[in-house]
Amino acid sequence: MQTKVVPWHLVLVSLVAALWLTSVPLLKSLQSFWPDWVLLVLIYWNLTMPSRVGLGFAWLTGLVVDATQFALLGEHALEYVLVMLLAGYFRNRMVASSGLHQALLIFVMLLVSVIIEAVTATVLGRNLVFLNLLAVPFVGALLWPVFQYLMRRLFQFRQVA
Amino acid sequence: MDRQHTRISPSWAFFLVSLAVILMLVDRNSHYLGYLRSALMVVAAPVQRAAALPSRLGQWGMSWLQTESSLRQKYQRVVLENNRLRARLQRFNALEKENIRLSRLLGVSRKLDEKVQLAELIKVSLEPYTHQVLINRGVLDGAYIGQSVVSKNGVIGQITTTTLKTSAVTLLTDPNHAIPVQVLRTGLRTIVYGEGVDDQVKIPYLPRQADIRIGDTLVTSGLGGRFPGGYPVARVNRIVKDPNAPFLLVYARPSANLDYLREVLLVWHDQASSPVAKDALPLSNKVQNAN
Repeated sequence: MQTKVVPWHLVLVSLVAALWLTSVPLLKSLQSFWPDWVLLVLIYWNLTMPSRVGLGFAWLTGLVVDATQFALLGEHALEYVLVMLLAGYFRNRMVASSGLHQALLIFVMLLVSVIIEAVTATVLGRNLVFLNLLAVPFVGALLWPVFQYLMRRLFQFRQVA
Repeated sequence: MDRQHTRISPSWAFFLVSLAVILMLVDRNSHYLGYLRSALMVVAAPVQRAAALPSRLGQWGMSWLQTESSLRQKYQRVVLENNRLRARLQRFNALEKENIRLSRLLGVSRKLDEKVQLAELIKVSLEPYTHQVLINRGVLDGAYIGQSVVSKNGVIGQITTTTLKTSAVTLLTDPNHAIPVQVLRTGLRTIVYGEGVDDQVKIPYLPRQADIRIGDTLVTSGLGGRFPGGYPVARVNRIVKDPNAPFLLVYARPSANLDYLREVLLVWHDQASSPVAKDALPLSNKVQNAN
């Protein structure tokens, strides 16, 4: 049986690029509108190649993001695993639905990621601007159709026997 | 798209979630994960350096646009400042010798001379709640965890994670940072805490009748052995006297301009504990006669 996969090195390239994008310094006022590209890339790969990019991969990536963002080790790992769980439940619906429906599901996933961030911050006693966090799901959902298209074009699937 | 029916194993998910939570708890309450963080930073640091490239290119481009006359003016200013500082330094040398004599008289052991090394900022943390920066000196340069980092105006923080060529510095304003200080005017000793707010640190445990005023300068007291004494830390800018509270709540503004850091200095305080970098310079004593 033939399966279509994207080779590992391309997946890693996409993640490194996403990490770079998230780390680029922006004006403080724009910071909250800049999506978590790593999470979006992870969701995309989980949708298209669930056998390769799953919970464990997301967990490890989250740990690397923790180190990059000087966050507590495990913070993003937790967030990414939970969002990936949701992505797993939504996968069939995502694959079978149109752009708008997909964007809506992405909105829900990002909302969950934001809730996790807010809960973590509250538990850890950090002060957080909740309004800024709310922008995340909207921006992500709006970007998703274009993002998904670009990812498909940039990282083509190959046939593997 | 590849339509596979991959089952999500609930026990695997539960395991990963628990592991993440345990990691967070351990990292929050102890330093055992230091090596893990350093290992992860080996992957993360090159990406951070690459992320800093766009703004560095911009700065580099801007520097090309500077006219010769403005560069000349800048040079003159630097020469003047240098001369002024050298004059002050002579007085400092004299005071230092006097201090050594008096310390000997009192039988107090004299602290070692400090050595410093210049470092550049690679990245400022983007998270709104951690105040950390990444610098381009690591273990290979002699940097160590706990090392003090200062800028030209005062203390900025201490190194909390190292890799071979980079280190993460936790700033004064980070909620997990505390530094022992002394009020310059009175000698009162207390501790300054960060609270995750830009440009602000707090001193929460002063008794109500403590002698402290707005404008008081706080310097490092040197107690605890971590930070060398005498470096400016902050200036008091607000005092809250709540009659119902047992303590005064004092707020201060860090002396170092934490928003505009570019170059910082690593300080080797206790040379017995770690090797000093080869190109580190001594802070005091003979002033070089460079013309």
